[in-house]
Amino acid sequence: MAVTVHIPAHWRDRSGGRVTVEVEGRNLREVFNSLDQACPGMKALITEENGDIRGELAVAINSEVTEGSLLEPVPENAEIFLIPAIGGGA
Amino acid sequence: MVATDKPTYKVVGTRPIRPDGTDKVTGRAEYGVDTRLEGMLYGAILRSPHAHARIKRLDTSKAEALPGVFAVATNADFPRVESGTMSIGEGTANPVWLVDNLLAGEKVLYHGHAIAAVAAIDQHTAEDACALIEVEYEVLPAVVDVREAMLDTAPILHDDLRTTVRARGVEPSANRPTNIALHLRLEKGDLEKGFAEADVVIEREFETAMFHQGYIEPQNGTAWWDRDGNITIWTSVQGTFNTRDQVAAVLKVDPSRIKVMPMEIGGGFGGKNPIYLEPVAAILSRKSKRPVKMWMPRDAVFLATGPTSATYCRIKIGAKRDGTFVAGHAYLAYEAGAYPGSPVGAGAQCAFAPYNIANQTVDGFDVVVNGPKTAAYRAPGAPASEYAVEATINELAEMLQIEPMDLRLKNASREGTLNSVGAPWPTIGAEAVMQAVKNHPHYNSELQGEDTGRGVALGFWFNGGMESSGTASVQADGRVSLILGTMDIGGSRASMAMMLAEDLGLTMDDINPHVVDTDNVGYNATTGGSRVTFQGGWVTRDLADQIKAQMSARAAAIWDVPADQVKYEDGAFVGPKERFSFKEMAGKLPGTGGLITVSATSKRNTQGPAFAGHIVDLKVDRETGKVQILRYTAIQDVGTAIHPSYVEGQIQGGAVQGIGMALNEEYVYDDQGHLRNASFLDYRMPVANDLPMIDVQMVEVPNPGHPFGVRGVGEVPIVPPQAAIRNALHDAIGINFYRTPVSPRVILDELLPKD
Repeated sequence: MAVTVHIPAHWRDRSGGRVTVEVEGRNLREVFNSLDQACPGMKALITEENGDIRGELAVAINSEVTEGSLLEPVPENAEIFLIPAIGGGA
Repeated sequence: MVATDKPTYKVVGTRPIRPDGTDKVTGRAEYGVDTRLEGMLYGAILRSPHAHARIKRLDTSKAEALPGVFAVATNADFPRVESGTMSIGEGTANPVWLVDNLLAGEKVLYHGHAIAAVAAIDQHTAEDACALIEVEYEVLPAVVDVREAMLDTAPILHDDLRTTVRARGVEPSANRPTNIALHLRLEKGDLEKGFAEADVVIEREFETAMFHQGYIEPQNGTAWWDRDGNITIWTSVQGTFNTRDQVAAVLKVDPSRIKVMPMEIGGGFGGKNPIYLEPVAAILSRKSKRPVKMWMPRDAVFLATGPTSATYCRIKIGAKRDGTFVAGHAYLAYEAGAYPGSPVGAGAQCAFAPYNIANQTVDGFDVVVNGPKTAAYRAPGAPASEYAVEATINELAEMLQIEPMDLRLKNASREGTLNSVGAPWPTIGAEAVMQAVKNHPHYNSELQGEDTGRGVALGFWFNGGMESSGTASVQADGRVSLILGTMDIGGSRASMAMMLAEDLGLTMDDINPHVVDTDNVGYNATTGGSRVTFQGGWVTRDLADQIKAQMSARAAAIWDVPADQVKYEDGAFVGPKERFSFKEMAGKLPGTGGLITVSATSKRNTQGPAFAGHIVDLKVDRETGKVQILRYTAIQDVGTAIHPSYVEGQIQGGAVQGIGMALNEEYVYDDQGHLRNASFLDYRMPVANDLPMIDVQMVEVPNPGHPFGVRGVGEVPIVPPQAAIRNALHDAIGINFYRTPVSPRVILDELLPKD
């Protein structure tokens, strides 16, 4: 299932300068595994060692921010955005 | 009210009396400080007189020896916690810093930093004991200004802090201590190319002061650590589960061993997400084997809770001669207070949000200074960055000689426009709000009088989703108990009951809403982020669907017909031949299998973003510098207003807080880092006789991602006032101000030499 991941500017050195990367996956875990194969080291930037999405990051699927579950289903042709978390001031 | 494609409702959109109203106006409602328990002790805290100092010696022996003292706590009483990231409501924090902020470790990092706590038989004894605690300080130089803190020569707060860089093309600085915790960069398009295409380029610098939320009720917390190892906490906070989880993290206790009892809350606005007293009271309780109550005096609230960041913002916008924005750059430096974690990330994403700018870069810096750790404050981070952008746009409109609202409308973000991180906007009301501002009678009225001016500004906020749960029980008399776990700050018991009543075809009086403790309802995230009515509506929709399905099945069994032949219409179960009202059917539940209880959890993320536009008329008194607000109109896309009075109240409250930021409020520090105005007498918030009625126009563009079209409403109204007032001041006296607040002293400084 093809999806498009939009790479944040400061990680584009790991994507060979590409703004978007086409990968496969039915949920976020599969998408990020696939992304890591295409862009080695990217998964470690997105997830903690325990597999959770990093607290300083939000993931949006087709402009809807998910609540951080890697099992979140990803529809065909989805666009995935990796967004700095808006939280703060705490 | 302007509405688009709004369904007809019977309950939603009406203005019933809130279920907690009578208790609050008669004084019967119980707030945290009203907690009284058998054998309860009273706590007090010793705070630092210095903004930055190393604690060379801390001796509590004399305090412990004072008759009536039962326990003394210091940082050493906390377990050793691991560094990491945890959610604390509307943001994240490192548990190590949380502990250090509760009771200082090796250093005090701001004036008022807590050092030690005492539990005693009464408040006076506890305070006397605090005075007996001996602290030997090595006073260090302090830095309280964000740009000074960024200098290589600045005093360093944390020797182990290094800059985390999330910016393309920026190399992390050398491995040396710094006060810059984070440099983030958002990029879209090609900034250099965008500015090269511009016919006009404008660049301006702005500063905003540190502001406090100014809630009436000070922080408080009562804790009882029982002999079984369980902790019960009575407190007034925005999120009981949020408090539970923070206390669990800093005390290294399983969250399920902590029960947080929700007391009524006297305002929070983001500032009652972090913990300050609860774990300290728990440690004192464990040591004294008694319940311990603590609360903050007002000066401690100013000194040591979480105001919002003071900021420095530099905005550069490039435009074509016809007004089309082609490039935008924002440099945002936000104070975090003593520990990293300012809302600069949100400020960065909000800065250009209302506008379609193809080429943009936002650089954000999170900077520690010798001040209290900042906390969320209504749309955290957004007021500063958007103030700077809106003020710059007004000057750009003047340069281009384009009417300010026309310039904004020309560049409005619309559905599908890519935002600052390159994601497309869903259905949004930016353009509708801008158009409503332009068409509003206020905007088109004639402004009369000398030294009067009119200003306008827009605002944006994301709104939040997070997780909510609830339980509903149908009683035999036909009423429904609604069990909630989100703290009711702005009338959410009413709005939740109204949405459930609407779905069940009942009245709000038929619903009995309660907010209960953390052991008696499913998980609920904090009340913040303008999320509660949004997520709560999904929960009540699910509860209503379950109730209707189960009661329909009972009716089908009574009538001996297939379940699919029973419909629920207009508050009644309708079968092929008969009908039962909801109340009639409820009365039959005990004899047909028992009463019905259902639960639901929702974690939807379809909250719609919010846009607001404010118009202000004001008059400047040239002799005193005082600014009088003559007329104020707040226009906002609210999705659907469940209870219009409460929506209007949120918008009015946000506008008033923003007016305070614009004209009067600020933390005033001396050059040693001492806060000089830690009282409501000297920290000047607007009061009723400072202001006219804030007129509200609700634009209802229903959120397609919600059963009733709800968007969050509570936060975005604080965003536009600073820029709207600043723009009105320019209209009135021809002066552009670049720092808020624009207090009478600031105005006189500008006017006196000229006059």
